[in-house]
Amino acid sequence: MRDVIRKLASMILTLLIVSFLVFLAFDLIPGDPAIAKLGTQATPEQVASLRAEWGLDRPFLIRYFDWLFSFVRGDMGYSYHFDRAVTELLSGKILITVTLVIMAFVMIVSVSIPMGIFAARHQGGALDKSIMVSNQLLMAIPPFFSGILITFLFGVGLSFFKPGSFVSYTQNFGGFLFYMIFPALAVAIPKIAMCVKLLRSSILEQWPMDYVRTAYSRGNRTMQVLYRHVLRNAMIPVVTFLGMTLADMVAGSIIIEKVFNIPGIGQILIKCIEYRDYPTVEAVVMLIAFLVVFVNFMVDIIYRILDPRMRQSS
Amino acid sequence: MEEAILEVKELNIEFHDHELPETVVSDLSFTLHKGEILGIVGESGSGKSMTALAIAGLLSRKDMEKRGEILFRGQNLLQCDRNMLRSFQGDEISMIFQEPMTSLNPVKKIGWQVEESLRIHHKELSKEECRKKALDILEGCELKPEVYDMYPHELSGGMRQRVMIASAMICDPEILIADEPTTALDVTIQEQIIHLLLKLNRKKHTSILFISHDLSLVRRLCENVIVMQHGVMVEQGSAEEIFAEPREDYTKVLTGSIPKVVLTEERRERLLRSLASGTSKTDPRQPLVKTDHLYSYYRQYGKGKVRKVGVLKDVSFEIRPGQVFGLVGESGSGKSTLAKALTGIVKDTKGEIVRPENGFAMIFQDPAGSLNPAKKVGWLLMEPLRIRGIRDKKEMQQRAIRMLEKVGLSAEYMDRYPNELSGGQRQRVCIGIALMQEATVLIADEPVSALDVTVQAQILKLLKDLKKEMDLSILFISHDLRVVYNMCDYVMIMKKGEIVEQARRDKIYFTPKQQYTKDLLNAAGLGDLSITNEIDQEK
Repeated sequence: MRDVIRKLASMILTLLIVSFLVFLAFDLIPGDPAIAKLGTQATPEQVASLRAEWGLDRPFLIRYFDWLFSFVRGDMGYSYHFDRAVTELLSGKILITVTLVIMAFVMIVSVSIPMGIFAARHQGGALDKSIMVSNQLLMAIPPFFSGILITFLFGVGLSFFKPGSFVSYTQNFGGFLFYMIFPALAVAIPKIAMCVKLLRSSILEQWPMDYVRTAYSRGNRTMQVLYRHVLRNAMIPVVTFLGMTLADMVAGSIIIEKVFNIPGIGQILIKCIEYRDYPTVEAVVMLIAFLVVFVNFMVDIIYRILDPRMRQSS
Repeated sequence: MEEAILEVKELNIEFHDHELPETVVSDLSFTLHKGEILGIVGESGSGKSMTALAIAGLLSRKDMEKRGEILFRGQNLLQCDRNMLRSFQGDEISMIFQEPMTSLNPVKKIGWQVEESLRIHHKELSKEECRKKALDILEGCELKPEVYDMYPHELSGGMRQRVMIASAMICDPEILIADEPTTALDVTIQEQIIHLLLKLNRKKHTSILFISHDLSLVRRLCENVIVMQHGVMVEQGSAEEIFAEPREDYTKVLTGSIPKVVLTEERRERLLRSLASGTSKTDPRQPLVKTDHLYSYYRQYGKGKVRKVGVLKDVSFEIRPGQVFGLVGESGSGKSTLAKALTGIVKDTKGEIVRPENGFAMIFQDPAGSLNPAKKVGWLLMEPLRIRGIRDKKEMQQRAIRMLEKVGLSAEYMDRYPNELSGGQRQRVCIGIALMQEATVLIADEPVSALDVTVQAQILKLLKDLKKEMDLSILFISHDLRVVYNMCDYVMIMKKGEIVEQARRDKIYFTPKQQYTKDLLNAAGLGDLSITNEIDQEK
């Protein structure tokens, strides 16, 4: 329990450091949001007054702490470009991106774990070999390309969905979920391939271990040895991978949102970088950082549950 | 004789993973009786473990052929279907293994693992009944009930092996197969495990098939013994017969390879005289190696602060020129730390250390692990010369070849890779490399522990010959008191970083003063050699 509290503290510290670096970075990048808003034709007086209005003329540290405290209170700042509160701007989009990531993650877990077990069980067999070969292929396909392929196959070819016509969840929640299956699949495919490969080799690595022989000597069936003894040990590296994948997918979804024309965080992030809408960009980066740190925290917790040896050390 | 429980008839095991089939067990037949402890003795490659695994039903590789019969309860275990075989496994035939550190599942609680056989074979038992039985058997194996809720990594090696025994015995099996169950353990722990096995054998009348390379252990534990070599049974008989009057040549070599510990009349006189006078001759020469009240520490990080933990405590000793200094201790005694402190690998020390002018050379326990597998023997032998700045290729080669001959190998080994050599040959190469460093003091850290007895005898002889020839001094670190007796002039016993006792060899072995020394001697089966009582009577 004390370990968990210590982990939480270090998580908060990490986030503080990240927030400072993010804020600093956007302060140092050349380019003035006021000029970006007013255009190059604006007079210096106009720019100065807008900067004063936005509070950009105050010293750096004051601006940082001001931003940080309002962020903690749930106020992510004001979008220069869209003239709206960032919180309001993002609230609808976050749900879309989170849905995409969660759907992809569920696909990864529910497909790759049984498939990895199957491949390991039939190691060297024809099915295992074909799984491994197709894995090799799928791993090499970047999500945006598999996105295009899926659009072509399921959208244009089989007409399962209408390419590019995003269904808003406010209008039709079922339709929204159905539309999201396809981008989620595009994100998930290469990760599934990697995860199958990892789990398979992790199981096969456990198989010659002494404790497996012990388990057999007690009269366990092969399936019992696999599920009661080997799987939990073999899952330890897979959990690390899944954690990294989850964080990676949030960033990776930006491109896939473009391919499937989904108005999620990714789309807005690209626009805001274009318009130097720093408050929004900062907010998105902070959200992603929070997610990454949180996922790492969860991975640590799951690690402790899976592997008792981890509970003592540290 | 009691009824036969298990009959092995003309068992043959062949591997087909190479072009030519390799026979690992051929025409082996024997019978295990109710309540009997039968020992199978042999060196590596004798097929003893294969036999054990075949009986336990754990040999199921596809590239292997098994012929013959293993009869148990009227079933041939080699022929019966998997379900029948499984119904015996863990219930009627149980097995414990050599490596208690890895034989338990690291992520499952001890209680869960001990109960597993019950859950599989006795489904009628409730959770509570299983738990009660597990706690009973843990108690029977001299473990505390707290162990039930612990994980393997929280237990010592000896405790883990007790857990293994508990989990094997929970269904009251007819047969317990023990494959080198004490090899990875310290001698005093080994002794406790042996006592536990004997106790269980008497109490439950379980037949035990005891597989071991350790002849003196088999002699003390088993009634009957089978000696195996290269997959063939060489000799079979009662343990006393086999050890007292071996009939076959191989058995003679095997029993002859156990280092003998005997006090000759002459040395007995000398020992008594030196005990009477209370003084012993001291060597007038300066010691080569010396420590004076040596302490060593390591830093423990964690919980925010760094703690200095003491390892060696007040260690003072001297090694004289030409002496073979035996250092004996169990794991955690600090014997390896002492070697590291001498060589300067452990730096955090307090107290004076005198080192020889041209340093130390070291030999380690695991010859396979201490040779770079990517380099040829010649390259490895020449490395110390290169480090010293010798560039003349011809000279280096000649010296390497001369060294090979010195350690009993020939010039043709120059171009071999370490993995092409046997364990004994590798250790010879390691000795050669150490001698190439031209140090006056050799530190040998368990140099023969990983070797078979016959090879062990050869390496010990080589070390002795080289010592004489090159006037070496050796710090000989070992846990094996028989080996130490054969090699050393002077013996120091350590426990938990402290010196328990140090004296001339005969004094330690025949008139031990400290209880711990006596315990170690007892565990090695050398306890009854003490002449302390006789001396007291004479007085």
